[in-house]
Amino acid sequence: MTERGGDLRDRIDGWLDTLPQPAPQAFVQHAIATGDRIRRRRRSQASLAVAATVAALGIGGALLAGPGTSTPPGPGGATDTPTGPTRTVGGTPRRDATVQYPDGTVTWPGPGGEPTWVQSGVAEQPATAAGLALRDVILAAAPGAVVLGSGPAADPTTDAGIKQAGPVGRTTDLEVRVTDVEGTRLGLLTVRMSRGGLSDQPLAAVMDPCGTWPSGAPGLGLLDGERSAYFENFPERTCSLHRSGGSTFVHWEGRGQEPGGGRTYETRTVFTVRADGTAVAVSSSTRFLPDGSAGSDLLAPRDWGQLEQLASTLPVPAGLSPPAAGRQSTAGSGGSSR
Amino acid sequence: MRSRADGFGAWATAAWPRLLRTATALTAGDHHLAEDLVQVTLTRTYLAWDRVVDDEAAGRHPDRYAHRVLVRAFVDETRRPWWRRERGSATVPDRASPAPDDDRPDDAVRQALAALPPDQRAAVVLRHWLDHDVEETARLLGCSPATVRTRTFRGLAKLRALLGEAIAPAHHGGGDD
Repeated sequence: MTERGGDLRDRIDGWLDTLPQPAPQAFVQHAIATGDRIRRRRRSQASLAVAATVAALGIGGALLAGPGTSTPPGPGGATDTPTGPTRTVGGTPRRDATVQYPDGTVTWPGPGGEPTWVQSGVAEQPATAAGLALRDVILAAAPGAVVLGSGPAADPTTDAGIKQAGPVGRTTDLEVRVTDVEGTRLGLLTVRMSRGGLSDQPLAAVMDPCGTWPSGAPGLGLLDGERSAYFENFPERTCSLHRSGGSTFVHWEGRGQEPGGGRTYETRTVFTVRADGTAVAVSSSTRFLPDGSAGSDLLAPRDWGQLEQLASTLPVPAGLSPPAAGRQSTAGSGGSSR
Repeated sequence: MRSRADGFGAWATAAWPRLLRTATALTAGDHHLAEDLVQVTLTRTYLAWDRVVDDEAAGRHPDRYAHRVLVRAFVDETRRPWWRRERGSATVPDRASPAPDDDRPDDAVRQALAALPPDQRAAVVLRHWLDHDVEETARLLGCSPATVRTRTFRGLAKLRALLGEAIAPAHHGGGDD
């Protein structure tokens, strides 16, 4: 180190020293699992390319192409891999596509010619009218839910309520925490909404963790270009596609255990794309005590019907609209024809 | 296969804080993006792990490769169209983002770094925090040494205006930069 810029270096170090350090294990495991998946795909593609070359040369290609055309594994190792809709008309993949869903056709970006966007920083504070309305909708849709608190100034360890609506993982999330009176988190309900799709690799597919939704929608159902769930923290996981009330829902359920034999946890996610192109994922996570109980009646809604209803009816927050500076004129490209 | 993953895992677990720290500085405290960048770095390093191990045998620390990947990932990120910068998270979040605490004294440097354009910030961070020379900084950023000097000069000038002259004396800031 030289003397140059020493004070600046000290000040940056001083700032960085104050920041929390997340545990690296999950990130490292993620990298290994993703890397292994990419390597398998590359080998498969290389094998396919060799087979195609051989076939093109007319040297028994038809016989040799077989090993390279193996079917990719199902999403997340799911035992029941639903059949997704097919993309029928498309522009550039991941940027503009018309997707044939089971219930109709949706063009991405969303209707009205809105560009692809996800806005960070949207907030519906609990004390606002919109925040209270959102809480009421949650309670109406999920009467079993206990949503505590509504004051933004309340002690963060005891104010559950709609704690914060804003960016989590760079998507727009609404978060409802369900805690006991001592602030121990027992459940967490996270609502993610996006209109116009999410983004691409390497950490996409968060809205649809099963990768079950069709690959025509930008970033959905894809992880590094693959349709694959990636939740290595959930060794037990299942995916399925359901029809209910004329809508389609992806159900994902995962179970795992905290490191060191701690609490077990379960997460259920329902994902859907509404007729207007709004993608909604409602994820409910519950921690269980060693005896298998949740230790309290304060649970986030876990019933599949409740989660489907939330995914269908939760209002889009007032602030969830494309940033004005990012608007693009794509008139005529949008529209839903359900 | 396991030994490859084990070797990488041991290195990555130890390197994670260093990489995250660098990514946090480059992104001016955008911890979501910083974690994304480190995740990309880890994945790419794992894919190239055989080569990294060979480099290590030749006396080059694995951090060197990862550091280069991280800086390139940041540069790539800043060059992407804004609407492609959003990413999902592959984990179920346990918490929402904490609101920035503008009143904390140590947040002033974060805000000042955030006020810089990403290319100037990267030049300043690499030159004056990580202490790379101009040539190495230019290689990492994929630009000419003259561009590095210009970006560093402008970045430091803005930081001085925001944080005070003492953070980086002018005769050094523009001299060898």
